[in-house]
Amino acid sequence: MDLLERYLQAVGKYLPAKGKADTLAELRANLLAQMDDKAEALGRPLTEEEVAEVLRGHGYPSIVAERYRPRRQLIGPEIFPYYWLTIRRALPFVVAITVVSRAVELVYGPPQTHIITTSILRLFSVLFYFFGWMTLAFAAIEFFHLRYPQKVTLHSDWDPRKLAKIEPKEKSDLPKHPIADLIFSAVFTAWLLAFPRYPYLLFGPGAWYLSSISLDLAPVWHRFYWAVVALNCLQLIFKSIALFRQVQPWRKPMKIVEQIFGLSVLVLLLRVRDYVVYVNPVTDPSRLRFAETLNAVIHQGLELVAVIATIKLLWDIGQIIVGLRTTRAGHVALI
Amino acid sequence: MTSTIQNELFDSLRLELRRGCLIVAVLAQLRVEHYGYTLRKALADEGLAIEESTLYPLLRRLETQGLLTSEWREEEKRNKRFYKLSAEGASILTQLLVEWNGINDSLHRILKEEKER
Repeated sequence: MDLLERYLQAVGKYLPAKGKADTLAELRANLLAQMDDKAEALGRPLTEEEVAEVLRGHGYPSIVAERYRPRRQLIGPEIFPYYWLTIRRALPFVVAITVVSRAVELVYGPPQTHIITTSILRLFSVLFYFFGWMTLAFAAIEFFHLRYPQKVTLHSDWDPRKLAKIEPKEKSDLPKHPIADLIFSAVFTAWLLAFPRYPYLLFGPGAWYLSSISLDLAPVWHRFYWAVVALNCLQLIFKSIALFRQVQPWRKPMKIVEQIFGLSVLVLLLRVRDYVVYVNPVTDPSRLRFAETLNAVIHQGLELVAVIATIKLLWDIGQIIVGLRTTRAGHVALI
Repeated sequence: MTSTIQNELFDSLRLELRRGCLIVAVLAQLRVEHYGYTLRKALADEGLAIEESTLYPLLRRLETQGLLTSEWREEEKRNKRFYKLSAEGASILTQLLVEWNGINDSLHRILKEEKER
């Protein structure tokens, strides 16, 4: 019976102190009765292997003990959908606010080193606290909901007549993943805010080379910079609204406005030939040639982007016209 | 669907189906006093095998809920905990049986309609 005592000891390790002796005594009585029965059927005492078989059949000690415990969960099935919904709704805003505030800090605060590593660590830290506090808050709601079900009721008086009206199904132009769309936009805005101060975010390692030869962005870039930032911030607002509204009649016109704005900036940039300039006057012909070549390459690149952007704009305008005709034809057919 | 996935799905659905029925069966069987092991044997003899690691904690839970009463008593020179249906348990069992019969009748009617189609 040494095996049985060892088994009971193992189960007892996982049982709460209250009622432990009672549970183990009952378990012992039941297991002994089962072993007695088996021994009677065999007509002889059980071997150690047979006792082990009975115990194995009864279950692994920690799992057996767990079944005697009251059901434990931090957030139960009734509260969990609200917890998950809140997390999903709040997460993009938490990420967006963290990213943008970090960018503002980088732009207006004192210069920092290792900004990418520290930014990622900051984001992880914010997310850790966000999940922690949300879980604690909902665990508290669960706690009160279980103990005072009359006081903490969930939508017990909801009225189907107050539900939103059916929205027309015009979802084809909506982003498939609006949360990811918002997060990417926030990261892009942060990058946009940060790169004037940290040029290597735009040029990569080339930034150090340009800096070493005293080459900098021409004033033309600064002229459009804040307009582009403002447009991105506006997009962020619209994308935040998109999380809550399935139908966005302003989305298509907004996209066209964005494209026209982008194209206008490109056209104005194409009229300028100097995109990078030396900080101090230079007389060395080889350095002048280098800047000239670099400006020519940037100009050609911008020309290519302008052609693609024009085709895309015309295509999108065409799609809107076709869409309007189809809708009108549909209305006529219905009449 | 592969046969392994189908078997797993069947096992999970079977478990769900049995869970509620087992409670009714345990309450019904405990109209006569039993201790854990003999209760398990009695249920198995009636064709309702149940794992001991499921049954014994279930007895504790039903007792906590006031549906069973228990007492320690010596039998065959061993102390055993005997369980019996309480008055409250008997009342709940009656209601559960009405519910179960209702479900059973509905299911039979649905299956009969299916056959006649």
